[in-house]
Amino acid sequence: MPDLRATPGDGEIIPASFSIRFSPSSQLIVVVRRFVESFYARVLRDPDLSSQLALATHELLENSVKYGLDNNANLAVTVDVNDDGYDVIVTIRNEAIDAHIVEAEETIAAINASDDIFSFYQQQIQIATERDNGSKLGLVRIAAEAGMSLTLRRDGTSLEISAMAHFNPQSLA
Amino acid sequence: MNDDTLEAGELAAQVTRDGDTVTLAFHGNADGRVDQELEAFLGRVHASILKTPAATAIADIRALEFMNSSCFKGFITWIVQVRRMDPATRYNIQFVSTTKYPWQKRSLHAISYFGGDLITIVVDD
Repeated sequence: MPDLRATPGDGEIIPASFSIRFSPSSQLIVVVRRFVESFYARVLRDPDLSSQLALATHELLENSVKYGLDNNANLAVTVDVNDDGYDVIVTIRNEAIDAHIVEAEETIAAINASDDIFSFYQQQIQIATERDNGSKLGLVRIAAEAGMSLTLRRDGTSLEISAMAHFNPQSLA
Repeated sequence: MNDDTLEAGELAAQVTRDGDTVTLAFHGNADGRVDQELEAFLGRVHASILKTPAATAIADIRALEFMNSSCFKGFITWIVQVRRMDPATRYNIQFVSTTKYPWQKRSLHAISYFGGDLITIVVDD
């Protein structure tokens, strides 16, 4: 595998990262998603993978809008390399209502406990059809469609959700 | 069937009918701003087909840049409505997608698995 670490002047740009603090709104999410997808596409040079990561970012951002307590959110994206591929981490941090934090904790615990994420996703899709409001599918979609693992940290009403993935460039080829 | 349209947020959709085929053409972004409008739109299309039966509804999403999970649910709800129909009058749903937007392949895989025989997927770049 080629050494993908940044070397000034040779065009390689990994590791790469950015973070933004903004007031999330539905109108801005699409703008941020497009920027993030462009960032991934430039850094990873893989449209399919970039699309997966953009999907995850979008769902995390929408959660922050729906359940945020105020108008501030921090989005951080890092792409790094290790011995056999890329590590990508997308983190959203915001103040959230307690009921949502509890729900997110339960959802992520269920996702992580599942040994067949696609079957779990199908179960959640079925359950979603019986809900009057919302789909509650955002987090499981990140796991099932973007292939990312999820972690959650809370401190009072401060909520931080990270979506992480490890990709092997050879397996993507 | 009267042609129907949807224009909300960055999403637009138009319905046309040709014989027993109804085509729904989507453009733009299906995100959290338009999930209720999308679900209502799909409900109107379904109700219209109940009045004037069709064999196939084509959902052309080639120009749909993105779809979030709540709009994804809108399509699932539509599929459930079709699944509850009398099999004798039930119509099929065909999704026409593109590789230009890679999310479509994964989302449609989940939708088609959920919808079973009702769903077909065509990739047309």
